[in-house]
Amino acid sequence: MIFEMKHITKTYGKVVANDDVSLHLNRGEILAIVGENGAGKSTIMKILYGLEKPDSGEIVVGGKPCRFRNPSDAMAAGIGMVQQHFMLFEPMTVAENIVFKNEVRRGPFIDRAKTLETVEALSQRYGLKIDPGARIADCPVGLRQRVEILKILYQNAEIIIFDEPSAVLTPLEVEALLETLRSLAAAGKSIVLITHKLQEVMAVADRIYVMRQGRVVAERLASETDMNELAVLMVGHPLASYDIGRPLTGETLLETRDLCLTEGGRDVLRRISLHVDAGEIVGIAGVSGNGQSDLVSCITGLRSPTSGTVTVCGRDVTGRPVREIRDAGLAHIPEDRYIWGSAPEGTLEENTLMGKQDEEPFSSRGIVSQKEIRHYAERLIGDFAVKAASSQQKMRELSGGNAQKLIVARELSLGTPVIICCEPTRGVDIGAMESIHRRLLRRRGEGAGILLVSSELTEIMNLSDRIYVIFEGQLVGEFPRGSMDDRRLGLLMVGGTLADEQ
Amino acid sequence: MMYLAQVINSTLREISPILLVALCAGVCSKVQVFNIALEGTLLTSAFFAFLTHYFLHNIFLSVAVAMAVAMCMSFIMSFFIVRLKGQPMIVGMALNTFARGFTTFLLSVIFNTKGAVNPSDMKGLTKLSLPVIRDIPFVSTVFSSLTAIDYLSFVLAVVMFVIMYRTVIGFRLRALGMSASAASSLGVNVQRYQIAAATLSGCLIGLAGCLLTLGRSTMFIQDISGARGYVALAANNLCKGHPLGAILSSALFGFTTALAQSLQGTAIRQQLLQCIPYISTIAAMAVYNAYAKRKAAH
Repeated sequence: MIFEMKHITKTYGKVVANDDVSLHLNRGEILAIVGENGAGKSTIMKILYGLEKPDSGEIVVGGKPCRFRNPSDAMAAGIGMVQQHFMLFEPMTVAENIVFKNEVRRGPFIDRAKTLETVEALSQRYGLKIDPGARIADCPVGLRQRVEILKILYQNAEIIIFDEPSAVLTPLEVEALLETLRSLAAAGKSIVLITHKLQEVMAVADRIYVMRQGRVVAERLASETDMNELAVLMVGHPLASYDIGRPLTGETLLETRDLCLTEGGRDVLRRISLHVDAGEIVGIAGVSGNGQSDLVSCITGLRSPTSGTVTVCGRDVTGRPVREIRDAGLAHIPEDRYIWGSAPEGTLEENTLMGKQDEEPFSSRGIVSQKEIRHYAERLIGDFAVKAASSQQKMRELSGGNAQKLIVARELSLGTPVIICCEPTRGVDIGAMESIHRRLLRRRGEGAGILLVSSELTEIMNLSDRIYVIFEGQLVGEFPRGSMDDRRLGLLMVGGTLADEQ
Repeated sequence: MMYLAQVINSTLREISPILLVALCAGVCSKVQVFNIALEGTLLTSAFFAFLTHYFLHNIFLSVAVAMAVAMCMSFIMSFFIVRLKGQPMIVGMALNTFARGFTTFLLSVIFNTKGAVNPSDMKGLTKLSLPVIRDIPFVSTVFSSLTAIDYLSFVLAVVMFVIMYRTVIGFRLRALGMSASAASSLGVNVQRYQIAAATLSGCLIGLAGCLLTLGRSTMFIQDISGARGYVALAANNLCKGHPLGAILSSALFGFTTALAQSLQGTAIRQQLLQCIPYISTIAAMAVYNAYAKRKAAH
């Protein structure tokens, strides 16, 4: 046993984040901690890493009780953490990032040659290939993560915590990561994997703790459990599997033809032609940053395309103002809920009103009616089961999942025929995700056409009647539901072709 | 020919104070402390350099006091911005306004005047006269009446380059400026580094302050810093905080200031001449930014 946490309790105000949590880790094992967002798994790891102090309980590392005041203490005890958001110096090189804080020095100076040598040796020892002289800014996400791992290995960590490590990776990068986890464990390192992706857990973990509402509700050996059982333990009830049935396809509601966008001499979008019919959900699969956001802003009118047309419900709205496009019958659930989706400092009432402020009965002759707005906000909050203390609290006080539910509620309640839906469940827990998915499917059943943009491949595959794959601003494939598996889609998403597959 | 040598000479004398302040601005910008209090720091340290020398007649003590005062101002600036999370713009402007009022107040209390103090019997920094150079006609004019601090400023630019780009401490400072969260995730106390870096680099402004009141002539005039703090800020912006680049960008502003001075007495109106350094600041920033934008597009 390399470490043990005994009876840890942590509260934030009235919220109990960890309630009498006890767990332990053995040498050379991969331990997974699974649970929904807010189940307390991140909190318990922050306590272990010295980022938070527990109210009560004890941490024992290598047989000795420890008190970590900050991450340095944890690091000194041999604990390292690969954060969900990478902590890297982008303009600096891979090697410089790895040695920061324990530089290879010669007197007061940095010994550059020896730094490169040390980092090269480290990378070879653990089989993690990198170019020590490359700048982080030029490295893809998968490589950056590898740098994070090497950074921790360089500090001689024996215990490595991974916080949602696959959230930002492409399917191929995820496989490489899982391979890395296995080889690190084989090299004698002990690994804690925090995640809510059960496939990955089943693929690598030796042992699993399931957390729910701040408590450890189950401990299982990977060999004794399966994904279904874990899912039930996590959410407390069986997961709905989506049998979405056949689409009642009707007329084309949204169409783009040869849509191009050139910015600063770069082709951001190349001849995108797609259509969304009534009663179907059309998914756009792709690694973030391949033109999805640009496509959406061209369709919704936030930007004007360089050439090509956008048609909403039979009306050519190319380059028209946002208002006009929305009036033509389009709703938009934006990618980032706090930047474009809402005003975090505004109240829930103000946020539900947005877009309807000129309409009766919410306002007449420029004077808003507080009563109507409150009434409406409370109805949406109730209908969509948004957990909020009052309709007058601020948007940013809601949890991510609830904020997202409110935005979805606002946009779907417009009842428009076309819905553009971007990353609708990014960073929300399984409960909120299910509820958002059910709402989208209901609108589909009512004959709306939905364009779903998501970097979460499972979401695309579960919900879509048809899938387009986008790569470097170009649609590289179109597939009906059920004709593709995630591996092959993943290959297309990173620029491969189906012929590359062996 | 003689005229050219004089212009170069006054350019050199204009460069050093701007360069010293720009070097401090460079360190501050690298550690992400937006220091707009440079102007007030320069003015205050110039005043105290003069004051110390006036009463104690000790040039070394004066330089030391000026550096200490500048470091105090820089500490207050960085403590308010970094620890107390004050708005950098507000903190900076407050210190600048304070410096103006404070020096003017002391001027009237101690010297009983509102404009300038120009004691005739005061001896400022020694003008170095270098052995070989003083015998070459043109060159001797170029390098005439420069003080040790003028020469030192160029050496310090190189020293700052070595510190920032070759040593462990410089590496850490640059890195934590790029991402404070990454640095603190590795257990570096970012705030402490920021305050220490801003405070220590403040001593460079102290040296610049000495040049203003004890360099060319020994006198204190109200607002003697004459926006050099802001000009240095612009110079630092132009070279992106690189100490060697600061020599070039300070030279640009030093030259325009010298040009404005040398054109005095010609047909061009004085008010227009006085605009030259500031207009060139704006022009340089505009040209530079347009260039950077075009480069980024490619």
